[in-house]
Amino acid sequence: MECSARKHKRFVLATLAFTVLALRIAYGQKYAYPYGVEAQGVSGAIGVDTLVKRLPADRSPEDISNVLNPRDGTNVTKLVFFVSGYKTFMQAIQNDRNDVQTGSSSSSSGTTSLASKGVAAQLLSLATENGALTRTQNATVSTFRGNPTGIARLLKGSEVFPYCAIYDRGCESGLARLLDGASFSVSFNTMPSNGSPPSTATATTNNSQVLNIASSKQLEGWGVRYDFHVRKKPAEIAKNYASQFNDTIRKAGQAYAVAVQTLLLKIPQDQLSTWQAKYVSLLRSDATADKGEFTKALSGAVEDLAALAEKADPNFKSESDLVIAKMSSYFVSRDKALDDYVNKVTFSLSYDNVLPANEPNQSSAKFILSAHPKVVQITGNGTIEWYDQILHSNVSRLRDAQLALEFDHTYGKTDAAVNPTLSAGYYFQYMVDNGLLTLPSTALAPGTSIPLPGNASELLNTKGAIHLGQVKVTFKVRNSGVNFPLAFTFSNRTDLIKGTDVRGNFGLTYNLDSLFAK
Amino acid sequence: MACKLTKSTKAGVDFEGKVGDQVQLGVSSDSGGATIVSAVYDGKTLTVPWKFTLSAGDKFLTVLVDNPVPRDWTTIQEQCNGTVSVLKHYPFDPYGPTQTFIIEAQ
Repeated sequence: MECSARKHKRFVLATLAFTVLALRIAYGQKYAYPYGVEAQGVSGAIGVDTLVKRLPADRSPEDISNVLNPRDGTNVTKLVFFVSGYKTFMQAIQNDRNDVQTGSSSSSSGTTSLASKGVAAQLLSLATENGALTRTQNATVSTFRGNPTGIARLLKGSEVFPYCAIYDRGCESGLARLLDGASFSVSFNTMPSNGSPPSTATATTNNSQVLNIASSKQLEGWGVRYDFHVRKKPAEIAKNYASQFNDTIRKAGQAYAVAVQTLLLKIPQDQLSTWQAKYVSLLRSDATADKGEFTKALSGAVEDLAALAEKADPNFKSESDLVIAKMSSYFVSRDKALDDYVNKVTFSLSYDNVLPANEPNQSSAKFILSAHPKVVQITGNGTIEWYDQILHSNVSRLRDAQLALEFDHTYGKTDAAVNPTLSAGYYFQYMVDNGLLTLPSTALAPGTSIPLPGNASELLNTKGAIHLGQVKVTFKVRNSGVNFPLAFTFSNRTDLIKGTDVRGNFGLTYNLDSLFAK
Repeated sequence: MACKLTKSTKAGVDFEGKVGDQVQLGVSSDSGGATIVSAVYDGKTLTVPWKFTLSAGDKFLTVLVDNPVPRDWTTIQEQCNGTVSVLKHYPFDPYGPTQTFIIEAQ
């Protein structure tokens, strides 16, 4: 127990140290100027970032007109970020993603997840789930999952996390990109008992009764994990790139292009010449020789452009919001479709420590492989689990080995209010040895009136295979970060009780990334 | 076919052409990865091979391009029977991937 407490302390300290380190390197991808096309170091390109370095008189009217062109894609994006807010875009992006692991792992006593998913939340997620899948003990467990880099960005006050196109490796620093793959989780038993032992007045008659002791532990478990993305080189990605665009991405792209055109039509063209002349003149004057004043003038340009569009059409903001929604749908559907093309392999490694009621603490190492061929997401897991201590018993230290395979398909349009995801999975677990219990000495052996010795007791006839199937529907509420998973699970047995078991599991998960993106 | 669009000198108009002329769009880039994802002319979505017929008046053409190499030099062009006419040559911005042109046809 002392060893376990030390391990938990080490975990907390490591997480804190990691967050402090991440604080030093976290930054978000953003445009450097509030309006205007940017050269961003491209040789031969002219942007506001190159014009600012010139003397005002050397900034040609043609160059200024080109970088301020409202029909250029960069300026469309900057205009909608100004009108609708960058955070609205970030929230839309977050809600369009649904391939994050928010709940606890399959070996928890409160979970709806048969297989651990391929990517963890980018900031923090909370999941409350009722009912175990493989464990005999049921519980209601709340799991926090967090990404130290995302939390560091939040603490730093900069963007919580940037949106980075799947192929944009320059969007974040190498170290930030490396640390982005790390995450941690902490699970709490939300309804712990007062820890009183079972009645000793009558003999227990089966394993179920022996195990019918609610956990008095509040901490259910914790874990750390790392997601790896092995990417192709840019030149390799460019080959056959066009052929990766399927009908789904093209439809999302059409909706985005239509929304952009509709927005631009709302800007009164007859007033654009006056607006443009004003800012060409201002950016060529000595009043904008200084970088601060130059940037302030660009803020004024986007503010004036938005004002004249909103004056001409009071619904301009709605059109801007629509561009944000369609842009995020396009970006996310493209990134998802290209995931397997851009990333040769996506896999994760995790270490989890669970503290089940009446059993010694257990550690597990998990390997997660995730792929999105066509419309189905396939996730495979392989796990080995061992006892932290076997308490002088003769059982094997290696508790079990697990394999899981899950298929997920999301129905409905990407911008629908509710997107149901249908999941089907198979899980196999082999109990290497009989189960090990930690019971008070007042408890009786199953089916007898023989008092069990304190600390460790071997639970007979629990060695062998567990087969488990699951069908799950997860209702994802758009723009809320809320998911409702409902699962129906059937198995030949649980880990500590032999006999067919059919369970219904439900949960509520909240991806806090959406909250912080507001 | 010969190129149908000519650069306009009128304020607020990018290109000019004749009503009824057919225009075909294309894209190229230094990396070779740029592709047209979708295009919309006068509110109507176009399909591969990105051809459209010029309508009377000032009409908007929006082209959504993607390119797996951010800031790669990219060219949106009119395909003209073996030759090309450049509509826009620019470093690709993955976060602002659309380009819109106003085409006046008479």
